[in-house]
Amino acid sequence: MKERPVLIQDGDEVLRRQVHPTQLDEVYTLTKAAFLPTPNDQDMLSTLRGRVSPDEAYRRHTEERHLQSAGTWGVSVDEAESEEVPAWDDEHVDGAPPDHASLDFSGHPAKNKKKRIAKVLRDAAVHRGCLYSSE
Amino acid sequence: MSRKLEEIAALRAGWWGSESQPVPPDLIKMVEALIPTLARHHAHIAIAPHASGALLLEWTSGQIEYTVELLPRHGGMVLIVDDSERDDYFEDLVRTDIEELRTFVQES
Repeated sequence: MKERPVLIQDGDEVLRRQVHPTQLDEVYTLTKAAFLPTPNDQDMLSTLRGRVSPDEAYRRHTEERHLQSAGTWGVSVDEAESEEVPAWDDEHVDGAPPDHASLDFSGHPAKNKKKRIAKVLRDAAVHRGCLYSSE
Repeated sequence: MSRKLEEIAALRAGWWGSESQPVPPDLIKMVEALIPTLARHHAHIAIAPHASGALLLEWTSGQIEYTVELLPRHGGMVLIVDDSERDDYFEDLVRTDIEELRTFVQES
């Protein structure tokens, strides 16, 4: 049975975001592209819950999903909510992997607003620093 | 910059999950042709693919951040000027045109 996503209440929780190697940058560290959802995502940016360790989040992404990653980065629930982007626990929604959470950009239909939010989230993740890197 | 473009050109469908799209070769070639202009005017420009198949260029000049989003499938290009300190933001969707992009880079 399909369940509804649940709003994550703990503002201090740091959600885990994987970044593709081509979205790294030697000067800016991360590009905005790493935090910009696609229309195919229904404006949901995919992350894992903070209870998953950064190295385990990386392992699931690379070994279970067979996708490339440069490492695990973090954005807190509060940082997202300050941009009016709620964080949803949706691991029990059909098709979602265990411990999945989504940052919900759908309240901002204007593309320019999404890019500004992606920049804020990118800056927060860079300020926090890489949580796990394979290198 | 050329090496980064080669890495991006090597991406295939599904590179960032099942729905992700590669950056079309015509967008890669356009940015390759612009490398001399980009290098002449800015010390560093970040280049990154997006799962939609778009190609993003980012650079800063002073406190202002510039972004160009080259959209796939002839979707045009988005030119962005973002001055966060003054809370001043400009964005324009225009037809993809290398000369217009060159002018944007030169004037930024």
